[in-house]
Amino acid sequence: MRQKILMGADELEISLQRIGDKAIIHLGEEAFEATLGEGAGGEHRIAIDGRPYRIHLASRGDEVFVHVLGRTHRLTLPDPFEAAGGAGGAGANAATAPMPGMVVSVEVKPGQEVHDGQALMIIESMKLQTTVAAWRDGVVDEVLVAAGASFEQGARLVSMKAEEE
Amino acid sequence: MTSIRKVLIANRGEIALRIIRTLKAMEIGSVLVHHAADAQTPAALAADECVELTGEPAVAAYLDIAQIVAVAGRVGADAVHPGYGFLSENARFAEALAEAGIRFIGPGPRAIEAMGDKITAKGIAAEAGVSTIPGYSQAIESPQEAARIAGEIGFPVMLKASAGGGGKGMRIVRSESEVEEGFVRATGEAQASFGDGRVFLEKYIERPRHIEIQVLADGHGNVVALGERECSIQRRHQKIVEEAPSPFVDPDTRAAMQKEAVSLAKAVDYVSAGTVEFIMDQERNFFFLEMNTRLQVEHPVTEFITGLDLVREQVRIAAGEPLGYGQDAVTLQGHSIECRICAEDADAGFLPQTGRALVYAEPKGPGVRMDSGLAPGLEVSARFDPMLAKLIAHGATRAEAVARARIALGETVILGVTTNTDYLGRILAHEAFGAGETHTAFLEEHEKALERPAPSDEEKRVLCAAAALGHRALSDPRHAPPPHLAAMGGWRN
Repeated sequence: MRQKILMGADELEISLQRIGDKAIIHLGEEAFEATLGEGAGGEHRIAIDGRPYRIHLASRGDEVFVHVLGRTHRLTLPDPFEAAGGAGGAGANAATAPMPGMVVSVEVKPGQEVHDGQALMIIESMKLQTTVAAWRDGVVDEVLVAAGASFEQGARLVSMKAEEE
Repeated sequence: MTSIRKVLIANRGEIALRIIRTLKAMEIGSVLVHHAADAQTPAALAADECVELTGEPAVAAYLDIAQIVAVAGRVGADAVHPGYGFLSENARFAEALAEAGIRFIGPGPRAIEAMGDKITAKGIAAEAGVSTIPGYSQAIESPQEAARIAGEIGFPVMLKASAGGGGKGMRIVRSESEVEEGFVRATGEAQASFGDGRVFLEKYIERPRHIEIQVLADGHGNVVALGERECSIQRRHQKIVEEAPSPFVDPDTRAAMQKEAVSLAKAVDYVSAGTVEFIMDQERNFFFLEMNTRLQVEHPVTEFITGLDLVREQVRIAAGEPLGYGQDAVTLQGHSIECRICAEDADAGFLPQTGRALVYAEPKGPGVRMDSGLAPGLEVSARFDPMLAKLIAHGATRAEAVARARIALGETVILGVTTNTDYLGRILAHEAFGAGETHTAFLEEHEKALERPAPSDEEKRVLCAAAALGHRALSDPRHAPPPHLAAMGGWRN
């Protein structure tokens, strides 16, 4: 999977393959292996390609706090679904797919008035289902992928009419 | 005078715990009064007894003289230690306790009152032979009067609130054309902050150092000075790094400052621990600023270099004991540095920060002391001052004290609420600080160099790995979905 990590003004994107408690992490051009040891009181040992570091670690919501090498860092891991234009994109006009999948059911029709949080469609990826919900009050514009059809990552699934001033 | 067997602590946070520790060492009982929000703090857990105060906002509870005096009477406390801040320099509190037959661990109400008003204090200091800054110590009535006096003593000048503190109601005026605006804004700020619009005016010292003398006075007329502390590293006119001795003060200057501080203490019949603050110019001329009639936040650096426990001395003095030693017995050993760890974002205008301390670990090692009010799981709220803890280091030399403090700052772990810990480390690592080239605008002057550096490639690798493996949504097996979907919310079978 891919995951964005915000570090202050920096935005990094990693991709991650997990094998048990080990992970292969791709960061830009490089790849490294990481393992995280059991911890107590937030203190852990983490090894990067076998090199150990003593770290302190805690998370809350989409934030991760890390103390390593004498400095404290506050990281944000944006939810990929929200980042793809779901609930987080209040100004956006279409929900896009966070990953490839298929539409299980469509809950609304074009022209229908919906309220914030109302289910628009149910999608499924890797045998897991989730609801694509309206990210604001408004009117459904188009259903871009029909029930039973599949879609690619980033595909526009359902759009809402542009907000009127 | 009878001995003191039980002391009520009218404070919170690190200073409450610090006072309780000394009371335990003296085998004196401790009673902590606290707001409900502070029921689980280290001080509350360490005190022999706790009594909850009512009042909102929470700060009001700690300022409620009638309630605290009533509790002190009810629990049978012989004395009250006010710490710093809150009621520590409140003459009415000292009087109310006296009326209830309870001792105030601090000076008498008259000394508090005399030193509490800056204009009165400056007048008393001048009479006692203390060097005062050229200026006009009476309240200034108009911009015209301010301009006339400034013309006599020479620009730049500083307009200051008579009832002020903490940098509120202070204006630097560099030329006659700035007088009118400076006067209007200083009086306005003074009125808004202190309910007292009076301002006075004095010569403004360029690149001044803040240097203060610690004094101890008993009820038998003995007064000793315990050397100086330099507290020039300030943000928003509030100290964040202090040290003793000052790298700039020589023995002759120290002796002269101590003599003046002692004579001021005697002039107001001072009793207990007190601090006479001076500013010092580039030629080591020093001028009286104010006298703080309480234990200072930064008292531990003096404790490290003198070997004295200042709270113990305060309690002994309040019990009527004589100091038992004179100035000759006071020797200064090595060097000590204090860093104030605050919940604030040093990279964003020092804005106060809130949040739960998810992880907290204190530094250890030779010459390291942590005075802290924080514990894992405690919520840092906006109810109180953002200072969470003080890291104090001691070494045989300044370089050793700085090195120990830097390592200890790096070992200080507070996760979940942003603090200035890393920023303090950058201050101590700065070349100009290492060279002792400090002044009260040090942080502004070196603002660029003190900015947070971006993470190194090595740090980035560790951080990415820690985030990927440590973030609950990505790692918790109870969240069932395969790892590559784990960051998505709301999925179900």
